[in-house]
Amino acid sequence: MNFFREQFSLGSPAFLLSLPCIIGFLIYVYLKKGQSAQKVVASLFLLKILKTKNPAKQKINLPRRFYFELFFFTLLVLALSGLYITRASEKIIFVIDNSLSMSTISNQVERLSLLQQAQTQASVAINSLPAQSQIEIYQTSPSLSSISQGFVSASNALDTLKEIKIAYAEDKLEAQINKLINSEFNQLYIYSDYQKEKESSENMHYVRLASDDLSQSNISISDIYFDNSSNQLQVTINNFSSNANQIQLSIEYLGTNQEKLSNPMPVSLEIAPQEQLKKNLLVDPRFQSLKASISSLSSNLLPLDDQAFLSKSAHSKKVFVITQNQISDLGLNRLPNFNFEQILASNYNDDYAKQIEQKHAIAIFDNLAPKTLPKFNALYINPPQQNPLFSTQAIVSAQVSGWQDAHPITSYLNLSSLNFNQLAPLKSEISWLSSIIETTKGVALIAGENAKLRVVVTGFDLLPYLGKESKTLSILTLNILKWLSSASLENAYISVYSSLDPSINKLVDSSAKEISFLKNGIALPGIYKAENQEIAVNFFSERESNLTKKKTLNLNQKSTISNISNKAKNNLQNMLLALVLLLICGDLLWSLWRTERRQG
Amino acid sequence: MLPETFTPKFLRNLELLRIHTRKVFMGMRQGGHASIKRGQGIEFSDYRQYQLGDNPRYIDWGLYGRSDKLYVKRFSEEQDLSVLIILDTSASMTTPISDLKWEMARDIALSLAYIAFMDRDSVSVSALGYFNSPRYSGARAIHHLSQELMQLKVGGTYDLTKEIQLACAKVKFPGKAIYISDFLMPLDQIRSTLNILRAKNLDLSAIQVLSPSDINPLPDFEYVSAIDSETAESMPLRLTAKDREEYQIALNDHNHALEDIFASSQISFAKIVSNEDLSDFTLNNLTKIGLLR
Repeated sequence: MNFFREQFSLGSPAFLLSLPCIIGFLIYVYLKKGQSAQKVVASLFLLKILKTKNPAKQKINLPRRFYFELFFFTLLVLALSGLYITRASEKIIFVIDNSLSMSTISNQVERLSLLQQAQTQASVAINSLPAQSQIEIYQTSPSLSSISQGFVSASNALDTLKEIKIAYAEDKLEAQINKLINSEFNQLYIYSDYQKEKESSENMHYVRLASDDLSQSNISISDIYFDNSSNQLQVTINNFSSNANQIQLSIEYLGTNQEKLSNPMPVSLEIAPQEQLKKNLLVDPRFQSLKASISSLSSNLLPLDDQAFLSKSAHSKKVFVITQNQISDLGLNRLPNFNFEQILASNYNDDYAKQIEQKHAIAIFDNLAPKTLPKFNALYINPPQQNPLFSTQAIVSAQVSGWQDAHPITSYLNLSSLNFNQLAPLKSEISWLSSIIETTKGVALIAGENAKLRVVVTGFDLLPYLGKESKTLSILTLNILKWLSSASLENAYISVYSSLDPSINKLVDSSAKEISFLKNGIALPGIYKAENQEIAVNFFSERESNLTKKKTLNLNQKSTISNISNKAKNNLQNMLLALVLLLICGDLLWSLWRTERRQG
Repeated sequence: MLPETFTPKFLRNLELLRIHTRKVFMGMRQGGHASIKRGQGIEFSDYRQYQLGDNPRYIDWGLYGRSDKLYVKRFSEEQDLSVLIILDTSASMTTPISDLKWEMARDIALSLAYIAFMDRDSVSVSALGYFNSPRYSGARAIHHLSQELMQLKVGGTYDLTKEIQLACAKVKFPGKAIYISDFLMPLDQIRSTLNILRAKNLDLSAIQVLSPSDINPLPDFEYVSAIDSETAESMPLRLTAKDREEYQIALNDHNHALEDIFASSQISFAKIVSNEDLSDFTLNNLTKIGLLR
């Protein structure tokens, strides 16, 4: 309520309900006053004259003291009701860390997750704020975003708070908060599991939601990989704990367009403290998609990172061929399970490179090489001399003298009889490329893998693909393409929130529910079905999974704050109580003076 | 045993006084007052012309020498005075107890009785509703009377007319009657009471004793339920300053009416408030109205 240009509010308005009762009681007492005080007088003989002279005295007429006592009690009730002035509403921001680590189940009694605790504590804080406060709620993951969409009232803020869910994402809390500090607010509340370096300041309040218990153990799957050539599934498991753990690794075949496959038996494993274990399992090569999951008998406080998904896309692998020739001229159209698309060599640029990368495809550079090594797997066929990536020597004819027979590229091949009429022996400045096929005149084929990027370079024309007519080179071509496409993690899974193939218009999850906002990527791990392919989505993050490694938060201090303290809220209460006390003292002194005057 | 207010000094002052009557009454024995009897008393009364048969011993020869006429002296026979003290013992005289209204009335009665005893008069006391005492005389009688009055627990109710009649019936020799009361009653009732007393040919005096509470009732209360001490009648009251002013006017009007009644009946009247000085009242006020000399 506004009064004298000030806005007044009550902290505990329920006390006001007592005021009508007090007024009624006061009136009753004053009406009864005297009636209950019966006094014997010598004679009513003369007093009766008063009553007959002034019959109007029958009316109720409250004395001055009544109004004094009414004023006194009104002040007391207002003080108890917590009357305060609010000059302007405070702007208060709540930042809730909803990264994956906040799904950790607390060691506390209620078995709530850290996010649930954050929501509960933030609700308590919001309820304790002055009624006029304006509140904005932020979540940190996958990116710092205002879920209240601006400053809202406390009740709206509480509703918004409930909408926050765990995001399969890391937080960038420090950078986000340091950025937020420059915006307009009076108070900032942060709820996270970070270890804060400095104490909270007057208007920045950090609430840590993780205990310092070092037994916050967690086991997680940090990677999953399928080797097409060996039908081996490799699952990388981390034990972020100071204790050894017994775990069980289970594989479940998924996918809708395949015959029902029997899931393999779970595998029991022992993992040492702080160990990263890579477990290889033979899987049924007929699988389309699968889920690997781990379970542990001992403490595993973060269950959301205990599974991983993988899918061999039913769609034929996309291969971009950067060439001046037609696909058909190169014979590539005869290759099954591959979808070749030509990019004219003259048109190839960084945009195309980005496109290939986004589509998780592989590329064949036919008699050319780009200026820089692209970030996708590629086969470089007979790159020209003077190319910046791979140095070649003069063309010679040569015979194969040796090869790495353990390499997948040379699987099923006997290259001893292979002769090259025109071979440009290779040399590469890239250290992780090694010679796979050697000839009498130099290296004919080099290949290598670095940070999951695979490269194959031939010093001879591998194409056109002639199939049965040139068995060795055909098998070699197939092996190379297989090796390049199978190693790509993008073929097996994508990360949450990563951009999808633009050709995908519709995606449904395992319960056939359509996923919206595809342009933002997929938020939850799982297997998703597109029109003619299945996509596995995973989220791996040691930063979120390793609960024993405390993250430290170092925040900047807000330089200037237009701070409205809570002192304004309390001022009126103390002032009212002081006034009540003054009235009591004044009344006592007045009574004393009257008594003395009468006695005098 | 006399009340504490009867100091030796006060008693000495009282001994100098005597009760005065406007009339001359016949007494039982010789006392200090002029009697209606003419005779051989020692007090010269007046002169009359000599008539044949008068005793020449009483001829005032000095007057003959001055006037050349014969006058004889007349002497009155001095006898004691019967004093009747009527005390109002109703509940109004003891409400509130702290105002000591009854005690003042009692002390006035004892003062008058002492004066009477010292002057060889006889006193009977009628404590209305309680007792009608026999005639007392002699200096020592004051102690007996004082003991009776001090032991008396007053504050009851009685039929005033009946009690006055009883008191009057005890009077053998009319004399002085002094009625001590607060007179807080209807004027008609006062008149009828006086008529009964006057019918006995008594020389009446009235002394009104009021208390501070009669003058300013219930000073600490604005709203109060007042109860009459005698009738137990209850009446809710609101006593503002204006109401108290009107009460004062009513009290003054009543007292003026009382004075008029007493004046018209030739009854000497004095008024005292119970917190005033008894000695001053007795020595000054009562002599002023002619009750004492």
